This record gives sequence, C-alpha cells and structure tokens, in this order.
Amino acid sequence: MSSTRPVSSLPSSAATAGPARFTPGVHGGLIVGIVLVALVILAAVVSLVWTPHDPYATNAAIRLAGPSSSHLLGTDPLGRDVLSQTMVGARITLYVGLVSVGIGLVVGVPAGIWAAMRGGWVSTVFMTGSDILLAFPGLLLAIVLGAAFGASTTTAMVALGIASIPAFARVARSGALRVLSQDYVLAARVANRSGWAIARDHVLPNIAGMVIVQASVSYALAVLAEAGLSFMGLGTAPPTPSWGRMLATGQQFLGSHDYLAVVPGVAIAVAVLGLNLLGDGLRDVMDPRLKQVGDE
Amino acid sequence: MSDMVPAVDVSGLCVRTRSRVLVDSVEFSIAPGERVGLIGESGSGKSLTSLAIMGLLPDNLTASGSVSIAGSPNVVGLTDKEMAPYRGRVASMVFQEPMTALDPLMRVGDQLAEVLRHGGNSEVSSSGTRSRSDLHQAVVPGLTEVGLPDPASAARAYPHQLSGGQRQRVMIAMALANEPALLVADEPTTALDVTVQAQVLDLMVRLVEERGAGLLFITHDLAVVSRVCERVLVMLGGNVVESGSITDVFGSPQHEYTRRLLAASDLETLDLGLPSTSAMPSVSVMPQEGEAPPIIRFTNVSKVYSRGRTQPPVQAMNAVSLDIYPGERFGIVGESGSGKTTALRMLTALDTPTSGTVEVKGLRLDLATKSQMAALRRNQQMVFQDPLGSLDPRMTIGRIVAEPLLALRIPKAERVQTVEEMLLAVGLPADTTARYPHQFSGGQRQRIAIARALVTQPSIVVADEPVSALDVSVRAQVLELLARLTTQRNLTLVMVSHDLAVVRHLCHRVAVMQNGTVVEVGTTQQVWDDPQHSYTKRLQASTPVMEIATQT
Repeated sequence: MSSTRPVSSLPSSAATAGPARFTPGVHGGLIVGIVLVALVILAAVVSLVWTPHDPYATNAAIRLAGPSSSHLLGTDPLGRDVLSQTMVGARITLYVGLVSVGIGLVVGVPAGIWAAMRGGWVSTVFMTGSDILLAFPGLLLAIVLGAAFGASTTTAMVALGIASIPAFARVARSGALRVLSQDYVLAARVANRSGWAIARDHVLPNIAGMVIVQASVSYALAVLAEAGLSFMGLGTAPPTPSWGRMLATGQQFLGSHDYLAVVPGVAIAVAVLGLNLLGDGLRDVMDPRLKQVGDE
Repeated sequence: MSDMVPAVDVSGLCVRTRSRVLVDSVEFSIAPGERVGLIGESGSGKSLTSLAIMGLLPDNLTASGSVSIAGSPNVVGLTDKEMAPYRGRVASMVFQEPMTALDPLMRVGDQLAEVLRHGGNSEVSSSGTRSRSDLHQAVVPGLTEVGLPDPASAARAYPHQLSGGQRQRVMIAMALANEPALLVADEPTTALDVTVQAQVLDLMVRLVEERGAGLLFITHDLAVVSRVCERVLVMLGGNVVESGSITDVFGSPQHEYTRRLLAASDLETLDLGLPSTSAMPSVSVMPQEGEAPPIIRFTNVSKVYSRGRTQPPVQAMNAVSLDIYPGERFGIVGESGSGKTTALRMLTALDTPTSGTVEVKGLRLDLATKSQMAALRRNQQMVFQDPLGSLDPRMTIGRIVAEPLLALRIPKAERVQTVEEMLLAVGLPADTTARYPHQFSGGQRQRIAIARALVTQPSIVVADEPVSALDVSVRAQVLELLARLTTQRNLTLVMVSHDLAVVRHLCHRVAVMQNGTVVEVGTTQQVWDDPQHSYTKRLQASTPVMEIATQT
C-alpha cells in the first residue's frame, strides 16, 4: 500500500474516494470456465432425455466404425455409439465430483475452522491426525474400500472424498487463522457476537475464495481419479459408460482408431480445465476489492 | 554555493502509469550537506519521487525527466545494470521498516560487509581468503559510528536479535558505508518509538552533516521535518506545491494546502473541549475524584504471558492500579512493550489478568456471568488503530456498523434506521451503507469504525491508537469527531496511544506506562508541563513538536 492508490485526502464532504473501481470488467477466465462447465452439464442433462443412439446397444456389424454422418464420433469395439456414451459419461463425471468434493467440503471446512477457533492441544491432535490421513493415498483408500464394499462409483468417490478432507481442513484452518488475527474479528468479539456468528459472518466469507479454488482442484482430481479407477476396473462398473473406462478401452486401439482415446480424453480435459477456470474466476469475482483482474 | 555540484538535481521528473500521471514535473536540487524534507500525505507521490531517483520504480510505472546524482549524467530510464554503479555508492536509501529491509537469515555483519564489498572497500574485497571474524572486524567501525552499544556482537547477530531502533541504526550504517553523496530516507523513524525516534534522527543528521552528503527526507510528520531539515518541499497530488526554507514555509505558508496541513498538524489550535491551557481550573470539565465512584477500576492487575518451555515468560503488566471516572477522557501512553495494549485487552475482557481484578461499573469482569458480560459489552465499545484491518473487507458498511446491534437482537427496520443515523452523526452520507471498506479513505474508514463503536449507545469507548494510522489533516478531524461525540453523549473515553502530543490534546487525565507498570498518573496538563518521573520527562522531550511557530 504505497502511494500507488491515491485516495482523496482531506475529505471535505464525505465518501469521495472513487467508486470507479466497482464495476468489474468481464473476467475472461470465468467466462471460458462457465462455458466449458456448462457444456459438460448440458451433455449430462440432454443425455437423460435424448442421445443420438442407445448408448448401451451393441452392434457387431458396425464395430470400430470411424466417425461418420450417422455416428458422429464413431463406434467402439462393441459397436456402441461413442458420442452417446460420452454424453452419458458426463453424468458420472458430475456425480463423481459432487460426491467427493461434497464430502471434503462439508466435513473438512467446518473441521478446519473449528480447529483454528478452538486452538490448544485438541486442535493440534486433530490436525496431526489429518496430516496422517493426508499421507495416505486417496487411490489406495479407494482400492481398499472397493475391496471391502465392492467396486462401484459411489464407493470410489466416498473414498476419494474422505481422502480430500484433510486438504480442505488445512486450507480452511490456515485461512481461518489469518482471518481470526484481524482486528475486525476482535471488533466482533467486543460487540459480543458468538463464536458461531463470527465463523459464519467473518471467517467463512473471507476464506471462501481459497476454499473455492481448493474445491475446483479437488473436483478436477476426482474426475481424473474416477477415470483412473475405472481404467483399472475399480470404479464405475460396465456397462455404465465412464470417460475413464472409455479411455482405458481406447488406448488399446491407439494407432488404428485414435478417436476412441481422443474423445474421452478431450472430454476429461474440457471438464477439468473448465472447473479450474471457474474456481479461479469465482474467487476473483467474489472479492469486493476487485483489484485488477488477474492481479494477485 | 552555486559552483558546487549538487548532491542531486531533479528536473521535469514525471512518473506515470499507462493512463495516469502520478508525479508531475517535479524539480528540485539538493546541495551537498543540505537536508531537504519532502512532505505530503499518502498518495501525494512523495515515495514515488524517491523511488524514481533511485531507479527503483515498480515495472508498471515509467519515469521521464532528468535526475542527476552528484554530477552524473541523467539516470532516469537506466536499466538495473546501468544503475548499479550509483546505488549504494553515490546514492543510498533508508527504508521505513528496518525489519523487512534487512535479510532475516543473514548476520548483520555479513550484510554490512556485502555493502562494503560492493563499494570496492579494500579491507573486505579480497574475499575468499578472509574468515567471517575478519569480515566482522572490518564492519565494526561502521557499527560503532551509528552508536550500537556492542558493535562486535551486533555484527554477529541476526536482525531479529536487535531492537527496532538498533536495526534502523544498522540500516543507516549500511546506507552510509560507501560515503554516498546523497542519502534518501523514506519515513525512516515512523515505525520506531518516540524516544528511539529522537535518537535515530539526531544520529542521522549528525552523520550526514559530517560527510557533507545531501539528505532527502520523506515523511508525513511536519514536526519531524522541522526538527531535521533546512528546506522543505510540499507535495500534493504529484506536484510540488510549495518549497522553501523551513522558516519560510512553516512560518508564512503561501499555498492553501500547506496552510491547511500546518493548521491540521498544529493540535494547539484544536478546541477539543478541554479546560483551556491558559489556566481556568475552576470550570474544569474533569470530574474530581470522590465526586462519583470510578467507572473503571484496575486493582493490582498483573499479566504474565508464557512463551513455551524454551523462553522466559513475559511480564506484560505488573501490579497496575488505575481509577477512571465517568465522563472523563483518559489516556494511557507508553511505547511498544509498555503494557498499554494489554491494559486495553483486560478492560475489554479480551484477555484475563493473571492476578488482580478489573472492575467496570462495579462489576468484576472475572466474576461476570454471560448475560452480565453481554450487557457490559453493549455498554463498552472499541475503536481500533488500523481502520482498514478492523473492517471486514467482505461486508458492506451497513452490515459492519449494524454488527453490534445483531448481538442485541434488534429488529431489522430499527437496525437500518439506527445505522443511518449513526453514519450521519459521524459525517458520512446515508448511501454509504451499500459500499465496501476499500472504497473509502483512511479517515472515512475510521469514521465508520467510530460509528460502529457508538451504534449501541455505549457509555464507555475504548480507542487503541485511533489516529496513528491516519494522515495529518484527517487526524485533526477524527480527534474533533471523537471529542464532540464523547461530550455530546457523555461518554467515558479510554484511549491508548504512543503519542503524548495527541493524548495531551484530547484527554483530561493520562497514565504513563513503562515496562508493564504505571510510572505516572495525572492531568494531562500537569504531566506534560511538569513531568515527575524520569521516563515521562524523556518521553515529553522526545515527542516531536513543531519548532517553528505558525502565524495564524
């Protein structure tokens, strides 16, 4: 805060210090993020009522047919329409992210804030426990749970969700510690506001940006993990189409039928990129200070 | 004087962003051995001017014009590499915050030796063969000169092991190590305690004088300038609006802004409703002891902070007893570490004493029930030092000011009404409510903080350095506002400050704290005019006062 931002000194009549900054410019990254994520959601929603072909219908006669006018993205080794499968796969992708990020958010963020506000040895023990969990690979947990409860999308995603709790707790705790050291929290305490009210009105809004970025990163990781687990046969069970398993199938045909791997690969890239841009964009837009866009 | 090469010659210096001009055609020249003050408030472009001279502007700003340091060709627009021969050798700089200006992971002696090596000093330049202790030997004279008590061990110390004043002395030693022709000091003593500030200023003036170097001294504090400098430049909105000798500018200011600035920093002329200095004790507003029971009472309060097993505990307060009476404005003055902020935290029940009791309105805080505490908090509000930090950046002003009312479960319509009335009372328009803290200037933010403190109609307001983060001109206004509101609403004001001058003009009585104990209590007039304790005397003598009488 040096003299780069002149405010009107000597405010003779009050409130003259520039409302100019208030209208935000168009946030390019956010727009692209919204478009990409909307594309995925649209595909998922449309697939509920309509797909170009039945995504489950096999047809040996047209197996491994390249893109054509009737099958825009071609067919897979069982003759199923790749476009229809990709659209249905979007549903799994969204579901996967919601479950795992949802668990991480709902458990991790309050736990982190609680640990920050509680302080003392209880929070130290808690955070140490969360560090141990952090050291435990999410995929391994998913494999263990899959073995115990049977491989399914939900088991895999619950496992990933549990594994992402420490990350959310850490982010929330470090953010909350920073917020709690601010004078405005002291002011709220002097105003006799309860700890709960301070957490809700001051801590949460001020760490929201960090949490959203963590959520978008976690969401993207979950999409990738689902793809990986399905690739290994531990995630979504056939015949439900999943981008991960489509990719697994497709890679066997790389060189001869590239589109089989390229289509789900691009779909995953679009979803992950879109979510990251959306997260960063939301963080910037939610900040009322709105310095220059893209500025730290 | 005319045939001497000036230490620095600036002409037509402009600094601009792509769209705005921040510094506009600044011209001045400093002769060797001359001390020139550059004053202005935040945003006036004074720091940018100094950075432009040193070639240290941030990347998104461009400078034009000409700057010649000790007869050099124009240095404006030089690359870092081209600038290197000048920095530290011909011109050097002292920054505001000595803790961040020194590398925390490097011994002080090593940092000073590095500067010497850069300047081509033969004793340290034949590097490689020399041991660390030899290097430290070479820097001892420099550290001795700036008055460090034990220069040899200071050379081995890391910055965090030194006090703020000692760190700034090290910075000065580094800045002067290579005998520069020009020293630029940007608010060098603003972060220091008053008594330390006086010593550091004297040191700087002496060393610069001995070397015949030019000094460009940037500050917002007019009293400091009048003490240090011979000539002064006044900046406003990127322009130098007035310049001349201290006596001329402060004695008979020509520009309207300079006059306003001087009037604002001269608290003598401020009428804050205190019993006048020209002895009229009979009509004193100050409540006399025994008239009413004290509203706040500290009895033998001590506070010890433990710092883990490795470090000894800190005695922040030691057997402090204080009585504060209803309707009085009470100041607590002390330097950092004196325990004044701890006293304030006890009073607001943000912290509990290790021993002793704090009573507010006859209620012992340590025995208060939850509902008694709630009632008390409604009655006792707080104003913080940094108005930006004390306002939640994500909340609108309306919500911020309404926050104390939320805890009281007041219906929404009434809340909105009260908030608008309160904002008006502190001189802000009612449409303020929809805006966010960053859209206001420092003084306006402090008005908002005051509105929040008074919205519950408390009888006690506790203020922690309420004006020390504000510009001079705004400071007077905020003090006036505080004085007016406390009188109108019959409030008891407890104010903590490091600045005896401010407390003197606002408060009826004052307690001076040092190292956790109260060394002196009395009416501000008596404490200022006739201090009893040696520390109070030192504090009073160190407090910068405008040394030139203004013509009003």
